Amino acid sequence: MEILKNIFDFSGSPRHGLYAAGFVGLVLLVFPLLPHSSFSMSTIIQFFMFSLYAMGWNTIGGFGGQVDLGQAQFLGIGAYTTAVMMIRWNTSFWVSLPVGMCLAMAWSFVIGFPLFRLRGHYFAIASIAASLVLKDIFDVWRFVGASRGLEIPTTRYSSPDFVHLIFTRDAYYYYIILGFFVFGFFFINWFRRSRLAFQLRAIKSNEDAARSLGINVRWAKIKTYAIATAFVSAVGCFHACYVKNIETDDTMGLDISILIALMAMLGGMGSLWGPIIGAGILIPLKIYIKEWLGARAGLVGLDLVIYAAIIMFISALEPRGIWGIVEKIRRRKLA
Amino acid sequence: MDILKVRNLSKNFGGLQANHEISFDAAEGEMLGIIGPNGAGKTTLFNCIAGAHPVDSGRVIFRGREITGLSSHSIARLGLSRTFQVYVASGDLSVKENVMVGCFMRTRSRSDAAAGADAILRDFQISHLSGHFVSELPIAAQKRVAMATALATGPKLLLLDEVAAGLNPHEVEEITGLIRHIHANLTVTVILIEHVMEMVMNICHRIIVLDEGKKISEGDPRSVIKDPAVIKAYLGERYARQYLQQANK
Repeated sequence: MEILKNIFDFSGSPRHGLYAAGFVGLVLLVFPLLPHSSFSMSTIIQFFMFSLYAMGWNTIGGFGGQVDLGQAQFLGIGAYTTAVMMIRWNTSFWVSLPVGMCLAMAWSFVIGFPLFRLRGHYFAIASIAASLVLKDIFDVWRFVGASRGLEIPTTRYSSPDFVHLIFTRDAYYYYIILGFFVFGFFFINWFRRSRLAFQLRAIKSNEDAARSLGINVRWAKIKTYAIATAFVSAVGCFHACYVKNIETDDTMGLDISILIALMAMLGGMGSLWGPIIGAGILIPLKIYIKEWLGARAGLVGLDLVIYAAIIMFISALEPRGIWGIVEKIRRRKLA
Repeated sequence: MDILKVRNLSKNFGGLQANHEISFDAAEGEMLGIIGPNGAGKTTLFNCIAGAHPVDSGRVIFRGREITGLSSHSIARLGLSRTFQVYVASGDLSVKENVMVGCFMRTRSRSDAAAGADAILRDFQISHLSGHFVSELPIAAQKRVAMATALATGPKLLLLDEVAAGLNPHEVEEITGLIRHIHANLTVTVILIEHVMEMVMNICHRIIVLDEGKKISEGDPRSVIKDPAVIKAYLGERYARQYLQQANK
């Protein structure tokens, strides 16, 4: 019973903010029924996907303070599991989803044990290295298509195929990822009040003090890493069916890892709303830059320039991100 | 019954001998003071007992169980809690949340932890601070939060590392009263490291004196203060004379 209560307990969020969020939620619920462009549709789907990545990252990075820059590897494991199983054995998405999540979580345990011997910057660097090594392996591994990647043959399925998640209309993808999003959102709302979240916040502020309070620091981090991985890999599986063209650069690149972390940082680490706010800002920005500069975007590197500027901006102004600014204003009003 | 037995505990940092063959016992329900000049190895001794540092040699036995070499979180779960000399304020957690982290050692339920934290905050008379961040508080209140958090784990033995450091005389008096209160009402054995001699002399049943990593004296407060070795290493002639004069009046 207490769990149920905690899932739907939004105390601590500003009342006006909750109304606004409720309104935005309603709009998002009926959005596919309204007249819209396919461009805005794909933007919102990407917003949902990246919100979920950032929510996952926020558990270990925001609550636990372990700045992980290798989340893309778990996205890749999820995407490749679904793609491989679908292409080779015609497996249902709903089977490959748990398989992909389990594989990714198993991998997170394998790298978590050595990685969490490290602290601070060393952990961040090691997480990048682990992710890039896995990407290099996938780049030469023939079973998963090596550097050519994989393509899910859509002609095999007749849309709408809810078993394999192959649709010609984006509205179906929209509602499925919206379902993921709602589930993830309420999970995080429960998580932020859980014992583990409190322990993580204690770890973030002082590991030695946390240990003296009976917290098994390394195990708490590894558990949380598995939770983060579950989020990212689940959406990775969805990514495979949605994009249908899986390449290591799109799924496991360092830029994706950084973007995921950046969203949570910009929106506000260790908060419920931060990752959503961050994704709501960065995803339209990213897509807009891509539209504006076209294929040149990668060459110019403008997106990286903007990300770098945002990082500097946050760390100089308010390390707790946009949500930190909101909280500050609220506390000032109360005082 | 001895709640804690330390036997021949030694700890080196490189060439520096921080603790050398230290042995002592703490009886259940006792209030034991550890004094000594800066660098005598007092905090290192706490760190070794609580499992924060691995010991080089020697044994630590807590409630009849050998805890040498156990990790600090397992030792905490056995009922040995501590505070830190420099309390690193957790900017991210409010006072109540801090104490709740302690409560979460014994319960999984958030409402139990919240209720436990409320009770302890009330007992410590800092309920009005529960929503503040620890970093915003004055040092005396921070020390109270540190003690409350350590007690929230429900320890049998509490190690207090210089909780009176940096406090004014009035605040020292308050925190002395608080320690007495904890000791009496919660049946906790207390070992404290302290430089404020008034406090140590007032509340400790027994005192251990460390100097350069070695135990140089042990006994009840009045005999320790007369010990020439202690006067030479730590107290100084004048303090000892003054104190004895005062006590004789």
